[in-house]
Amino acid sequence: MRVSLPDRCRRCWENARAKGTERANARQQAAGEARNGRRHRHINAAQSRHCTGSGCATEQQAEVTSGHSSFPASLRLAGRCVSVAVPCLAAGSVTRARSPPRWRMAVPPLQRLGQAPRHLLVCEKGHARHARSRHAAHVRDHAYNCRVSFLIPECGLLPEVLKSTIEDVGEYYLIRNLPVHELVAHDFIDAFVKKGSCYALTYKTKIDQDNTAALLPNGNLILSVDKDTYEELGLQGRPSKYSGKKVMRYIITIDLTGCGFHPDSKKHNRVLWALKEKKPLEFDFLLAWYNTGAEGSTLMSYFSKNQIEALKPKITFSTLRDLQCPLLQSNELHGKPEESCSTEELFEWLGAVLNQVSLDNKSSSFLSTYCCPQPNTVVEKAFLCTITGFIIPEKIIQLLEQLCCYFGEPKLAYWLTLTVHGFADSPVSWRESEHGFHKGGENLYNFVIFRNLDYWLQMAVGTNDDCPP
Amino acid sequence: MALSEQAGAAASFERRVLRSAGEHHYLRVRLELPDGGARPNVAQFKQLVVSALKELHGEVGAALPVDVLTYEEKTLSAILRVVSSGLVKLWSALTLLGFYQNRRCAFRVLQTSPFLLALAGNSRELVLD
Repeated sequence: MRVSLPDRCRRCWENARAKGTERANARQQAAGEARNGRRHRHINAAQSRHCTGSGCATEQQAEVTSGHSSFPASLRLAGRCVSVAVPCLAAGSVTRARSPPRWRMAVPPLQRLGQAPRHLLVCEKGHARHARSRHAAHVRDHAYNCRVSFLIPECGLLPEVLKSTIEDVGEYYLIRNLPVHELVAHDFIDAFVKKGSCYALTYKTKIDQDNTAALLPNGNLILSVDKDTYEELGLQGRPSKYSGKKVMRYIITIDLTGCGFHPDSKKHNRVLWALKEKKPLEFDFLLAWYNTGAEGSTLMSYFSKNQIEALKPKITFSTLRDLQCPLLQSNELHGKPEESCSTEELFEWLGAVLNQVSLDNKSSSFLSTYCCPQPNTVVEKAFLCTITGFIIPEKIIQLLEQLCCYFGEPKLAYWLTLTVHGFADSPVSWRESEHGFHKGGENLYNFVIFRNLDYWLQMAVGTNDDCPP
Repeated sequence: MALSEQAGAAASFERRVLRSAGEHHYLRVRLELPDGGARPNVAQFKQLVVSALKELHGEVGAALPVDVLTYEEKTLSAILRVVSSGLVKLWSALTLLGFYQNRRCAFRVLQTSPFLLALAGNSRELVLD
């Protein structure tokens, strides 16, 4: 059954559905047998109290399709909202006013242009030393990070401990034209995937156009491929969630450490055949490996036959003078008027600081109306450090710990922030939840660490993303 | 900052999910002009954006509040802020603008996001090698 109604009728429609359906059902049951086999329709104008006056449409088109009958019905009713419940063809069937699908109920096309694409900002607060605090788990679950920045107000010179932590962020590798089948080879799995956390992500591939691959530290290899490649590969996958009605993208997940993936197993041979002979896939890969102490061969020596280069993250320091900082209270996520700023205001302010937006709002300014949220205070200097590269979560956790320790000694700053940007083109955001690129592909998070080690965590994702954990 | 000192006891866990709550959208744009001509300063740049809106959407469109948050004259790139309901209007007006002072020009929208912070780290533009 297809029914199209104007948006303003939505409430009435739903109410009518709830109440009208009951009445219709009762009426049907009473008169059901008498009308057996005859096509009939109900027009239930019960909910008119919502719509008296000019609120609702005066003309409504209802097209009804059920079973093998389809006919349009045009109903002209002045100042009324109607619930249209139509046909029952089968003997004794109960007529129901089914709610139209949500996308159809939604807004007319022109009005839809005014709607922003869906996006989510999840804010959490907790205490960093709480036994059940999940802050480190959130960092660990976000595997692919391209930029880490931290901002410390009232800090001119970085403590030595923090400096050494930054220098220890570790190198990563870029391998050109690496065939994907080399990542499913058992030598590689035994030497790296099983012996530590191995991260790999294709470089300079676009998730909305190209094929993309990523290796997660839990041993799952994720291939996000277009329809043609999927059909050529012949590996089992699932349609992408964000591909629309006509599926043009598929996600293949291969568990490299699973018990069914031992050498000579059918699955292993099939995957190897598919990636080696059926449809050889080659990408430039970013790779990083983190192992807890165990000695082993390095990625550099393992991939010595390929074009591999070791890269170091780029680190920049800057000191911001006379920075307007919002006032925050760790136990007030919503903020309090005249007392503290909310978490959303802080998030926007931090964006302005990292993008070097001018914060002073002159009344005569023709250019911009943005200003620092109120209440705020001017900080004489603030230290900003930015690390850019392929940064693994283990290093971010170390940095986060050191930033918590920063407040071990008395400091002027009341809080500091740590911002992490994810790759817009990675096939996952948090854990293994699928990630896509709608308009921006944003997946990022930000910690605000307070002096008493309370923290705020803000996780932001764009349209083609699940809700962060 | 000292004002907030009194946040005493450790915060209990709380989670808020804000769904499409952002009031604004942000665009990182670049203006392309033929070499050799005069480059607009920031005020002229804003005027160009407003005239683009006026050209396509009329006086009502020109009244759409658009903020130029940053502008770099050297690269002609800027970050614009617009209310979320006006994103499509602004984007379409920029796309269809073809001339600046009788010279051909084009706006390239490099990145767009409901979060200003997201514009600080665009992995598509990063050169990691």
